[in-house]
Amino acid sequence: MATFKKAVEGALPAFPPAIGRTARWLKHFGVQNSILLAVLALVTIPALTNPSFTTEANLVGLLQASAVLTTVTMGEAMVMLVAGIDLAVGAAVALGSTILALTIAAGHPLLVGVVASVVVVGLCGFVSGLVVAKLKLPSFIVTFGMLGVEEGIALVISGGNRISLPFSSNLPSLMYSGVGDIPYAFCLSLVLLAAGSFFLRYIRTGRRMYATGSNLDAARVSGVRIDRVIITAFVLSSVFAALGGVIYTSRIISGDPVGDLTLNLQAIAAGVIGGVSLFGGRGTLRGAFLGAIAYTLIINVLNLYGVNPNVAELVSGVIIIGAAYAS
Amino acid sequence: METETTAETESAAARDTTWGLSLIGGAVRQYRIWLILLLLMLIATIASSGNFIHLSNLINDLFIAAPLGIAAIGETLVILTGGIDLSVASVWILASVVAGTAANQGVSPLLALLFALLIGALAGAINGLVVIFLKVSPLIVTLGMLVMAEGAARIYTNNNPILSLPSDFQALGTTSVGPVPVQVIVWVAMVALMGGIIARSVLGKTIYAVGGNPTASRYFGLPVAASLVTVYCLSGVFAALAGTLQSAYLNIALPNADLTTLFDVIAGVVIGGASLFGGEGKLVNTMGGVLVVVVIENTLRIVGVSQLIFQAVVGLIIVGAVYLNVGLRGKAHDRVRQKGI
Repeated sequence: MATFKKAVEGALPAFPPAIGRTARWLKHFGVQNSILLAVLALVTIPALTNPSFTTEANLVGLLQASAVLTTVTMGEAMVMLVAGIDLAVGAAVALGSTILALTIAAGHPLLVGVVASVVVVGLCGFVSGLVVAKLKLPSFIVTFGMLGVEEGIALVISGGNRISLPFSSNLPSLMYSGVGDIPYAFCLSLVLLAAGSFFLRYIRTGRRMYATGSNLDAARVSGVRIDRVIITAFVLSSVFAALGGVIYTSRIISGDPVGDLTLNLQAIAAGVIGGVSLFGGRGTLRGAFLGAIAYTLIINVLNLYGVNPNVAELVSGVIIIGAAYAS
Repeated sequence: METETTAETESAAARDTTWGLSLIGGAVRQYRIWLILLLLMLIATIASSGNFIHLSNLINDLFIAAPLGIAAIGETLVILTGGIDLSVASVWILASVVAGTAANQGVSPLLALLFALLIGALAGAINGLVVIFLKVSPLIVTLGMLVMAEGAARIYTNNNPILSLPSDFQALGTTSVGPVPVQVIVWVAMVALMGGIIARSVLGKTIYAVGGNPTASRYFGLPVAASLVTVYCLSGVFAALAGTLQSAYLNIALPNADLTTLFDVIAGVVIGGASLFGGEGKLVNTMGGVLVVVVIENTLRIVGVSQLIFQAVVGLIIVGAVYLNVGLRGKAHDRVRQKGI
């Protein structure tokens, strides 16, 4: 299972203490993130040899395209850390987007819309987490059900139609303007990365997510409130998805009740590429973030070379399996 | 023969108290899904002011249920081993476009069907081999296959739907013997066949054993690897059969995977009482589970539940059904064995 990593580790020379800690740290880093680095290496060569890749337009487009996926993947990674799976993220993004657009179109300020969408979607995540933790149903089934519920809500409140943002709204600037060339949306994603990583490392509930995911029973017996941890994971996943919905809305300048239902597959794939294990307890948000970037890169490179989008779909399936195998 | 201590007998009795200790109680408990189905049909009849119970509606439901049920046979086998097959939805459509294209090019219906089944077997075999030899979780593997098979279908048809099929091909899906669709006969026959094989063969014993305890099964000498590959392969074949029959009936073959189909199939298996952790479940009860799903959806449609909240309601009902099933079996023992939530 960790054969790829072991192979990489075996191939590199063992650094004796004489060489120094930096060298050994680098080797450790390389081994731990070997999948990610392999993917990046795979992508860099065709990328750099294609002149269209290094254009400003393409690079900015890349950052714009990855903003939604990075946010959503980080949320999904939280649930993966507690050995669960959140299949509802695609619908959560759609629901968040719809609520935001409706609120703005009704004349309320942007902030009110964001809060409304985060609260509602977060509530759905709370319910999912509650059912998984208290009723002990498999997260796969519960979030499958929640997917339907969130889709349904989004369709009902929007009447099945996209909701255009009014011209006066400054939401589109989230995506289409930024710090120099870096879209604000991408910066938001970076901020979420920092906040999330802080949470996982320094906040008790965050640290306990790793324990819960690695060994549920041991964690429970050690006094970890696993119910609270699990619910938090699902709520955070939904909150991140809602924020992803905000970014998505700014990208398409409207609220979309249908959304992209393949987002959850992409998020899981990106998480796995980044080293987050579906079995729980392993992985970092940084890995999830980079995994999403890597995934976006792959699609971008495939597009650049004019590969049929259907083939790209095939490739992403292979990637999912390949990344899971290598981890 | 072992002698049970008084304490064991008493706790066994306590556990069985809900349904009674008698033989009938045991049978009722095992096949409770059929009682639930009857109850639902009663509710459906009342709620629809009698419209549900019309022969034409029931036959229509059978035409919808048969492909789902056939795919559910394969899915049950996979779930019994403690795995899952998410690729059903796209193997379904991949098979249907392959068969449809072949049929439109003049290939005889049965031969086209054979092509479809071969594709299903191939996809399933790949799933099984990756699960066993690359040791990747079935969730991921079949997720990947779900995406790949749909991509393959789109490439194969160049993203164009197949909007008409020759009439002899359509006959595969539309013929009935009297009021009973041939699809249903095929469904029942497959359940009987697979049920018989499972009950009598090493494959069957291995499937249940692997679901219960994979490591112990291997130590026992059971052919775990071969059985798992076979099971995934069968799941692909049944999904292909289902997809082909459905597209023959509907006279259309689309290269887009329908996740509702996947949802309905898995829901049918789970509502029929199979444990998602493996080792428990009966093929016959999956039949009941699929019929329950179809009856629920049909009732909602007749009653006029808005298309928009349809999936939400179905989702809620499915979660409720899983909860009831887990609850009636006993929660503690499921929690102990699972890895992950």
